[in-house]
Amino acid sequence: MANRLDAVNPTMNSTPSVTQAKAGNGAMRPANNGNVIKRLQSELMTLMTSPTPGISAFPTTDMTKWNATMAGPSGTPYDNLSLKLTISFPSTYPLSPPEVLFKTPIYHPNVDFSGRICLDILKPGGDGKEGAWSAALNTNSVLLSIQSLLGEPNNASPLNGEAAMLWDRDQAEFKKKVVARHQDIEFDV
Amino acid sequence: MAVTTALRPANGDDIFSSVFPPKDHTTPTPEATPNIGTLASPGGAFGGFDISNNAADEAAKLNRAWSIATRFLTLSAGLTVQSRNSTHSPDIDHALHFLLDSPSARKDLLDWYMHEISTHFRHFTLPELSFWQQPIPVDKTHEVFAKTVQVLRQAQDVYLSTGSDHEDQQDLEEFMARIKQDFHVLVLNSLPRQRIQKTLASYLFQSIKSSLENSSNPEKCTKAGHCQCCTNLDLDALADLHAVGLGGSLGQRAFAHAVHKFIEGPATERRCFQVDWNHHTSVIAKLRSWVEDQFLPSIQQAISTLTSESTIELPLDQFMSAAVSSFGRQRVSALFDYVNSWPASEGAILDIREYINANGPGEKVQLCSSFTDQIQSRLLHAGASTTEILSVYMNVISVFKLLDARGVLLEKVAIPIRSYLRNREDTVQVIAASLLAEVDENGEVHAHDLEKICSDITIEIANSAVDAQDDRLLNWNDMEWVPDPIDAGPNYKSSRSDDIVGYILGLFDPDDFIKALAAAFGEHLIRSFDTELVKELRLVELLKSRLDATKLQQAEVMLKDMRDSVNLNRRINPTHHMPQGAPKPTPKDVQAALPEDGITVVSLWERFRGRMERQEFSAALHLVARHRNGLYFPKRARLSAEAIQNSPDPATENPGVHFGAKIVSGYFWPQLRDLNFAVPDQIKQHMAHYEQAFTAISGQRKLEWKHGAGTADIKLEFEDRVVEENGIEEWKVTLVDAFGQSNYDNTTGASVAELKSSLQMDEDLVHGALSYWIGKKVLYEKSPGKYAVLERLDMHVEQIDETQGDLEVFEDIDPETKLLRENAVMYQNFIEGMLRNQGAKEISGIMGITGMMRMVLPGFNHSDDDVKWLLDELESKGKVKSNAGGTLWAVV
Repeated sequence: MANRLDAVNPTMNSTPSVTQAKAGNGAMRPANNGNVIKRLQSELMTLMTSPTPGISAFPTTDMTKWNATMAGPSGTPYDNLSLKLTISFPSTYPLSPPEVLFKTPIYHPNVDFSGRICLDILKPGGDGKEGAWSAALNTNSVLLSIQSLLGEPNNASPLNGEAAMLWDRDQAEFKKKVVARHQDIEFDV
Repeated sequence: MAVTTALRPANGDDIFSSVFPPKDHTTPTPEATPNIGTLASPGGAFGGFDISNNAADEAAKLNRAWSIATRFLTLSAGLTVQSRNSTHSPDIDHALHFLLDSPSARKDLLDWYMHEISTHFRHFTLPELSFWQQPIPVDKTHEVFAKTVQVLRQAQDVYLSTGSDHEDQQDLEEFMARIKQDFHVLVLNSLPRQRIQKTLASYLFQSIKSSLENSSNPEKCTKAGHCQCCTNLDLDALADLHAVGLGGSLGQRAFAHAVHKFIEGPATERRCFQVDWNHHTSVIAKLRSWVEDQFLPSIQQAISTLTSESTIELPLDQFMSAAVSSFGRQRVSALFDYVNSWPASEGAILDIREYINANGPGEKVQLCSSFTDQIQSRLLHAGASTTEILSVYMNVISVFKLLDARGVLLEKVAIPIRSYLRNREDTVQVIAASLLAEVDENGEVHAHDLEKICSDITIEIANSAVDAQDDRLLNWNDMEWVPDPIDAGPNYKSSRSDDIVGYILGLFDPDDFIKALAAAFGEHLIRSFDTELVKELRLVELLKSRLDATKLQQAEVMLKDMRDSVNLNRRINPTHHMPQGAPKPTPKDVQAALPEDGITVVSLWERFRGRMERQEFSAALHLVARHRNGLYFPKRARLSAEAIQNSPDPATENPGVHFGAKIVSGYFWPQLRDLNFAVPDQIKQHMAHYEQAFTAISGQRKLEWKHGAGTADIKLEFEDRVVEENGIEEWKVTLVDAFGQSNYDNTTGASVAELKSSLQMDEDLVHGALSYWIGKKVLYEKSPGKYAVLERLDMHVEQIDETQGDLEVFEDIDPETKLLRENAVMYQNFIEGMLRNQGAKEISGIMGITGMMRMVLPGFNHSDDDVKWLLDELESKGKVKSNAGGTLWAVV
């Protein structure tokens, strides 16, 4: 009996105060699927070794929840704005797409007021599905797509009808709305 | 009846006053206005004997007696003894007797006389005692009390003298006793009571102390085995104090204070009760017997004298426990010193143990907090080296185990040391290195870098048992299980075998510890030429029994690698059985291996198998041993010098290069320094041969040479001398080998650039190796930039000084730092991304930058300092900034 228990919890089988030494490393390690973690680690590594200018992403304390920061592309109404996003990877990633949300309030035809983004690659793809997600995509490409969406909104399927209308008719007014809605935020740590 | 007690002239004169009586006497009424008798009332008795019943007569009689008595008792000015005898007469006797007989008159007389006394006292006695109005200096207490006693005594004599022939006057004596009592009250009320008490306490304390000092004779006590010092107070002085009214409750209180103070200090801080450094025994027993046999009786006697009550029974128990407590507190306040000098201080520790056992849990708490304060101020600061702290920690463990076998106290005091040690970066390395250091038979520790070794740990490891059973909580068959002690802290862990090794290992997270150990272990194995690996094996087993066995897999693989390498070397180089570096056994070694009671040839051969040829062995054996009954015994005669010289010299017999390799499984070993350069041709051949053989044997495994870890023994022959160097790094040997090649011309020498290109070696390495050999006087700088072989020492020109400095320049960069530098850009990208997306962060802590880096980047094992370095670089590039305190970092 004792032996079996030892095997279950080997660290208890040690010296008087090992428990003190343990700073809580274990708590930080998410209990998620190891493959997802491995994949995300390698994505992070690529992101860091060859960073894309204007795009930056990093995990929070949970490896499957990332924060991202994106610079508004120049030549668009979002020029010089810094936009924050959250990326949440499902345990089936990369078979299912990550969930990406704008945290910074943004005025955009394809983004609703709670930050949800309407983008084909963020919807599950495959046979009989309308989405265009593929396991070959990665965080970097998702962020790049979103960045380009800022300059080229898909006005055919708007989440924000007014924005779609303004984009087509009055760019100056659109820009005003964008600036009015924008506010710089910090992520909660 | 009017009583006037007006003030009298201070310079009253006896003669004058005898003629003209002082005015303040009450003059009995009848003398002034004679009683002419009263008219007999009509209803009154007619005649008879009871005329004295007349109220007026009574009053007159009383008045007369009063007048006589008061005149007799009136005090004259000054404190000279009054000559009451001269005015004494039967009248007075009679008057006093008359007055004292009647209760009301007696009370009046008492009041009157007390008033008289108090007036007199205030005028004549009190000025003499005016010094009491100021604070009394400590060194004056003796004089002050002598004076006080003298003055009061005199006053008392004056007030209470009744003339010589009053012996039979019982009532007068009673009256005076009563007066005396009231007088004492008067004295105490007229003087500053608090000050008297304090001064008296101080006076008594000093007398006790000095009497102890005078009678103390430590040598005698030591010889007798128990303390015979006694405290004999001056009983006369105490009796005097009592006589003048200072011995009452005030005196008792003062005495109690004095005794208390005495027990707190001088009683226990004496040579008789010093720590027993020689016999390591407790001296508390001595203290107890001294209190019982010497101290208490003398105090008892003193207090009886002071209060003149023989019935006071002093509580022995309280005295005992007060003495033990004060003694224990003194010991505890020096506990850190005792811990430092452990085990010589065992006596003191036993004292403390007895102290905490004798008294309650309060003492334990006090002990812990006191000791914690001591280590905080004396040990846990930057000035103490890690090895020092570790060895104190070891001592703390031993000491507190002795103090409290259950380990509760230890758990409490060890926490600050542990958390401090955990914060020190080199602790793990020191422990790992200490575990691997050598201990010889004399208990001396040998190691590569002695400064990094805590020898206590090494010795402890050498002596500890491998099979420590642990963890009783989970052993449900343990019938000796007991609950945790009631005062155990939350982290208390009951363990039968929590030996010192366990405590040392328990300092750290096992993962961290094993990682550090692996690094030290790898380095140790690479450097070691020992083929048996007994000690290393034992260490791994020892750790396996205490840490998680599966986590020590890495160490086991390392050990296995070493053993495999030895085997492989044998198979690949069958002609060189010798393990690298170990000299071939000489007949002397064989002789040394022969036990006194004989040994069979087979078992003796086992020891030398693989180290020498069988024939050589038999020859050596016959040289040194006698054969009898199948056993070989050592010969008594000493080995002749000739025989030793004849023993084969490996160098001359097998010219050329001995080559041995160690195969390490790259995955399991810590990072080795990787250097690339062209090794000498001889070595290269061996390597090729070895590689071939290895491939043949091990199939798929890939062999990769790590020249950075290679060492060589080299013998350089010069015209005038031979230089032998053992255990030199491979790159140094390679460089010096270049000077022995055929294409080298010693007349011109070689430049750094030439060497660099011919050896394909880093310039740093070339410089390092050149400096080394120049330091060894093998090479010299022939002309600026050109180096040549120093064939004869007399060619040597002093040039070493300037090169000495960078002799070890190269060695300073360890692989970890190198790794950090190489990956700095990537790491900095990570940090930037982290700070941008997670907001400002601190470096350390679970959620700190280092912690996050470790989490997201599995290979990242750099320290906070390294991260700080990365941040500083980033800051200099203007990418990040820190807040004012430098604790919080954020992107710009």
